[in-house]
This record gives sequence, structure tokens and C-alpha cells, in this order.
Amino acid sequence: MASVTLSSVHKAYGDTKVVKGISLELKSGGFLALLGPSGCGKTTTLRMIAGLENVDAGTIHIDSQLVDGPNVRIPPEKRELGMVFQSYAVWPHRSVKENVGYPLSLRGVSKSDIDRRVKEALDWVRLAAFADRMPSQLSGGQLQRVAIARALVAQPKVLLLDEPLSNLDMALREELRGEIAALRARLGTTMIFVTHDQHEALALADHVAVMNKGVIEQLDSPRTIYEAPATPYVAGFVGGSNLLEGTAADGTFTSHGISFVLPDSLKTVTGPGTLAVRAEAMALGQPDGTPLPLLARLFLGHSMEFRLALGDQILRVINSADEAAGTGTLTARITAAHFFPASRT
Amino acid sequence: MKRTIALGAALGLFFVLPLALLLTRAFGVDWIAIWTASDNLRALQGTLITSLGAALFALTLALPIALLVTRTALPGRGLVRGLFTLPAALPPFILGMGWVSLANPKAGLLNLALGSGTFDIYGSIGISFVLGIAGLPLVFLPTVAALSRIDSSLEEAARISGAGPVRTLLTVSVPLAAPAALSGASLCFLFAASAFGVPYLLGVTATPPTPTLTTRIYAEILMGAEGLSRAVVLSLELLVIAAIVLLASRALSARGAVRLASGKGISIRPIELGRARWPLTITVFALAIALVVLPLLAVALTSVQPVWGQLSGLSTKHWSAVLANPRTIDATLRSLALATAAATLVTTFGLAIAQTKKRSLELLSTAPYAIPGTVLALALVVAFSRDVRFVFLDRIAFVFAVANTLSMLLIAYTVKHLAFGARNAADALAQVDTSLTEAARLSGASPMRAFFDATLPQLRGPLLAAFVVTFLTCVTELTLSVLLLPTGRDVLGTLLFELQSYADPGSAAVIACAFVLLVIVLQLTQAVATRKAAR
Repeated sequence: MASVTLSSVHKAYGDTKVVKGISLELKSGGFLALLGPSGCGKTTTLRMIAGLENVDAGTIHIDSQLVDGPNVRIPPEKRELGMVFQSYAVWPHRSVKENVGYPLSLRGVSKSDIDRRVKEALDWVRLAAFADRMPSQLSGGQLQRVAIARALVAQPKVLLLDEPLSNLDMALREELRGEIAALRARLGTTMIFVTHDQHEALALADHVAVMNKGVIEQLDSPRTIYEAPATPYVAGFVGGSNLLEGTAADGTFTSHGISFVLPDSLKTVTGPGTLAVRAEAMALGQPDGTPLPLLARLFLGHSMEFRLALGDQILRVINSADEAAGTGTLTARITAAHFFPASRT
Repeated sequence: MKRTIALGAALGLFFVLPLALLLTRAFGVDWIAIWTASDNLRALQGTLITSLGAALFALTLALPIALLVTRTALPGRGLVRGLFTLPAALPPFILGMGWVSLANPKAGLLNLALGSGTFDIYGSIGISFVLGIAGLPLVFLPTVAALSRIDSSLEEAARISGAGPVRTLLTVSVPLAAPAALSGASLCFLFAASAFGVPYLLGVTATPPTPTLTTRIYAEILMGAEGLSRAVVLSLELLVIAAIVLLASRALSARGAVRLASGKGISIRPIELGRARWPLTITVFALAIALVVLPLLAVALTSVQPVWGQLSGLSTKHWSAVLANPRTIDATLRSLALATAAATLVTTFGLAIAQTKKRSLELLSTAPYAIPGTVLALALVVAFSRDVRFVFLDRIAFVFAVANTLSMLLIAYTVKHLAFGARNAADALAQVDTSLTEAARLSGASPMRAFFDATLPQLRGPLLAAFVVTFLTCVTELTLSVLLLPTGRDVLGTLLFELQSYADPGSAAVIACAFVLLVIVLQLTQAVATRKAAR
């Protein structure tokens, strides 16, 4: 267990700046999710913490030790970390037992201790019965469990997870998500988890850093990220909000020349800005709603999704009711929203 | 379907039937007595030792160099890659000539410089050495390919587990690439066991002579009708060795393919070499130059030495003699014509075979390449000559009077190298975007028209590559030519063989130089054409 501190970390590949000044501090035992779309710099950030890439500027500390910075480059093998890769990275030429025992054998652990600790680690991931199998005999979910056991067996200072669940199908993903949470509760290891899946990030981590184009847009608890997004980008990415550009005045918000009544909490805002409205935060078919052309209706099982035209923009509305079936126009009233004044965006 | 039958029948007539007839020739012959005759046992021993030596030499050289060029920041690693691939484009016989010019115990340039007898290229060590260099790309290229395909996270996982860069190479990269390297090494073994020119050049006149199965078969054929049955039985022995090695190679590469299944193609950051950087660079380049470039320079120097083995000024007398000799011109024109025809046939038939998408036909078409040339030539002779006679001409030229046409040689060239056309076309067809052809059909093109307008342009690069490789291999082909050439005719390969083996290394060097120039020109042309097509 160790803390991780990044200060003003920069990284570029050629002319492409991938990470543009990231600072964060993760306490020992914390669980941080780096969340963002592909190309936002989250994987590069994780790989710099791992030592697989080096920073161009800034510093990385693990506990109080400077591991990367000007004139200091601690290679990955000296950082005492564990890492789980998206592609599992289980060595196909070694058995399950040999894969998991590898980090211990490099640390000069005695043969009997290796056997004991490998067995223990395989117990954590419920693979004790598979110790002598070769990787080609395992399923994707089992391979990823081997990778997790291998990453944890030597009690790393920090466990790094690079999109560990995205190669698995939905059911397995949910199962392994539960197992990672249980392991974390049991071992208390500091963990950093890279994902593009907001549900994964919100469900697992106690801190979420939402990244966009090489910077952290917001670093907060999952609840704060969801309920109080700091920027329109966070609101759009995490909540799946509709982002409306326009002007607020006298308790209404006008976008594309169409006015909406603002909810009570936003009656006082004025001026140009972005209104972030969750797909679930609109009531349809209400008499005081704004009439909008209906483009499409999609049945989602537990609810319906309606697509409404707002100028050249499409509004997504998810609603449990099946109001106004058959009509070409629906009225929509905003029930909750976040307003970001233009100066802040 | 009709086409499949026609192609199958052609391969049956010119490949399967001759091999079957070769087998029937072995009936009623006491082959155990022949296999265990002391001369033949020594030939078997020679084949096994030189082939094993060549394979091990190629493997020990190729693996570390493949690691250096794929995993480290070695300066000039692109050039190193090219230099160690170069032997693939050269006939082994020319490399052998180069090493004779360098390390003939009396007349070799190295021995002239360092004292007579310092190096001796003749004998089994010399054969292993030269065939190892010639077969190096067979190990080097698949090893480089395997190392480039390893999912980089497998190596990164080792680093994070606590292994340093070198340890990671030894415990992860090398084991993962090992099947490909070993499969390549067994192909190198097969290549060496099938070789005829180099073992003849360096084995027959060695003291003591180092016979191999191929040179024994050749000697038996020279003996006439009586020797033929012994040659047949020995060639079956060679065929058994080839089959065993080929099976081993295929099993190994199948295992390797499983291990490399999920390559992501992101390359791991190259290892900085630190203080070892310059010593390693110098060693690698020195090796490349000594093994590959030096023998070519020696051939060039030999071509302008007035007297072989004496450093006494330069002269163009060999060049003018060779270039003015009607025999040379005759052989050159014949070789160019034959190689052009063979390359055209290989490309056309290869494409036709690939288009049938019949796995069995594809396999059958690649089989002749794995058969040692000596065996294939003997099978064709047995099949197509009712009355086998031998004619001695000059001191060495000999032919089968009955199979006495250039068409026989053309058929042999085509059958032997059909694999180039079929494999290239099959790989290319697998990558063709069929929707382009379908779009042409829907635009109103007939199947034929759509093929020429939409499919063929996508195949141009690989087909051109197949043409060039076949052409270059055939233009100085030696083994098939020596056994199948009609009386009184020469091709470049046999002329080179005759001049080098018997009388006139200087003139042989002139032909070799001309060929190396041709290789360079054609490879550059092809590289430029491919680059243009890629753009």
C-alpha cells in the first residue's frame, strides 16, 4: 500500500500532446478511476505511473519516493507495482501457477513460500483448481483472473488496472467487477483503474478523475461527479446529458430560438451558457412543456427513449411512461438541470 | 470446377506421376544394401552434419540479431535487417564462390593476406558455414516477424513483475519466438540438405572429400544406367529426411502461431543499450559485412584478377573474354528466356490455383518446393525418358538424351517454383476487398471484366513480387539445370558451375558479378514499384 502523487505531468508523442499538465494525489489505500473517452490520455497517465512511459515534464511520486521526473527514471521493475492489462497478458508458454509465481521468483522468494503464496492468490480469484492448466485451456474471464492474481501476489504498492474488463462480455464483466470490489475490501491495496465505462468507474472507485484531451476536468467522489458535474464535458460524458447552448433570462432558457421553462433551482440564473439536461430529467406531455417535433421512439425494455428535434440538435429523453403515442409533436419540460455560464466554459 | 480438374491434372502429370514412378523404380532394388554401402553412409553423414551445422549456425546468428533489431535502439538496425536478409536474394553458389575466393587454402585472398592455409573453406565446416549464411534469412525473417507480433503487454507484464529488460527478453520474448526460430532453423536444415551446388563446390575436392547425398546422387547419375537405380534409392532417402524435417517445422510453426495469436502491434519501447551500444553496433555490422558483403567483393575482385590467386594488378581480360564469348551470350539469352517464361507461368498458374480456393490444390502446388531439386529432376527424368542414355560432353556436360528438350527444363522450373505464385496469390486474394469487385459487377461489368478492372489491380504488388522472385531464382538455377539440360546447350547456372568447378574462376566471377548487379537492379525496381502501388 502506498500513496501516488502526480504533479504537472506532461507527455507528448512527437507533436501530439497526450497529457497536458496532470496533477493528482491518491492516498494510500485509495481507489482512483481514470475515466474518459479513447485518446484522452488516461492510459498514457497509467503507463507513466507504471514506468512503461516516462514523463516529459513534471514528477511522479510513489509514497515519498520520486520515481519519475527530471533526471530520475526508476524502471518499471524497480517500482514494486502490479498491473492488469486489457489483453490479459498472461504468458502463453507458462502454466497458471508459473504465471502467478513469476513476480515472486524474481524477488528471490523460497520455493515453498512461492507455492503457498501462489495458492493463496489463486484462492482470492477462485482459480485454485486451475493451477496446472495452460493459458490456452482457459476462458477470457479465467485469464483475467490469472492476471489479477499475478498482479497481486507480490503485494504491490499499487495495483494498476488498464481497462481490465473491456474484453469480456457483459455478464462476466459484472461478475469480475464484483470480485475486484471484494478483493479491494479484503486486501486494501491502493488501486488505479483506467476505464471508458462510466458505470464501472462510478461503481468501483472512491475517486473518479474525468479526463478530456490530456487534462483532468474534474476529480471528485463518484457521487459528486454524477450529481454536481464541474463542467459541461463532465455532465455530458458521465450523466449522458443533453448539452444545450443558449441564454438564460427570467426563469427561461432559450436555445435555437426555442424557450424552455427552467426548473425552480435555476430560476435565478441569467446570461449565456450551457444547460446540461439528463435524458431522464425531462417530463413529456406536460401542459407547461415546450412542444418539439418527435423524430423517433426507441423501446429500451425498462423505459422508452424519445428523440426530439431542437433546431439541428437531437434531444434524447428517457421516460418510463408511454405518453402521447402517435402524435408528431411532444411537449418537454425540464425537471432538473445544471447551468454552466459561458465564462466558465 | 473444370479449371480445378485441369490444374490438378497438370500437377498430377508433372509432379505426382513422376514421383510415383520414382518410387516404383525402387521396387526390386536392394535398397538396404545401397543405403548401408560405406560410400552412401558417408554421404548420409555428410548431409546430416553439414545441414545440422548450417541450421545451428544460422540459428545462433539469427536469434541475437533478431532481438537486437526488434527490441533495442541499435543504431542502423534497418540496414542490419536488410544486410542479413540479402542472402535470400543471392544464389548460394555465388556466395560459395565468394568464400572460395576468400578462403581457398592456397589462393584465397584471406590466406594471401594472412599466410597460406590460415582458413580452409573446403570440407564439412566450410559447407555448413556457407549454407548457414545462405539459409540465414530462413531463420532470421520468421524470428523477426514473430518478435514483432508478440503482444507488447506480455513483455510489459514481466517488467512490472520485477524483471529487468534482459531478463524479460530471456524469459518472455525468446520463449515466445522460439517456435518460429526453430521452425526456421529446420527449414534451413532442409535447404542445406537439398543443396547441390555448394556441397559440390566445397565437398568433392576437399581433402578428405566430403560427400553429401545430393553429390552422391549426381555421381551415380554420371555412371549411367547402372547408377540410376542407386540414384533413385538415394533420392528416396533424401526425400524421407525432407519429409521428417518438414513435419517438424510445420508442428513448430503451428505451436508458435497459437502463442502469438493476440498481437496488438504496439511496439514496446526499445531498450537503450547504454555503454554496450557502440561495441554491439560495430560487432553486428562487422559480422554483416564479413559474412555477406565481403564474399561479394571477393567475387568482384576475382573477376578483375589476371591470374587467380595472385594479387598482380587488375585486368579486364575476363570481362572482355566472357562478354565476347558466343557461348556466354547464348547461355545468357537462353536463361533470360527460360526464367521469363517460368516466372510468367508460375504467376499465371499460381493465381489460377489460388482462385480455385481449393486447399488441397494449394497444398499440392507448394509441395514441389519442399522436394529437393535433385529428387525432382530425377523423377522427371524417370517419368519422361523411356530410354535413358547419358552423353558426355567436354569434361562435364552430360544430359539425358531422351528428355532432351528445353521444355523439360521449363516444366521443372515452373513446377518447382509454383509455390511462389500460389502462396503470394493466395495471401493477396485473402486480403482483396471483394466488395470492390462486386461493385464493378453491379456497375455492369462481366465477371472477366470485373476481374481485370477491380480484382487484378489489387493483386499487382504480390504478383509482381512472385514474378521477380521466380525470375531471379530461375535465371541462375543450378540443380535442375545440371540434370535436365539438353545436350550441347548451356544456361547461366550450368556455365557458372562448369567454369567455377573446372577451369576458370575468373570468368565465373564475371557472370556472378553480372548476376548480382541484375539482382540489385530488379529488387530496386520492385521496391520502387511496390512503394508506388502502396501510395
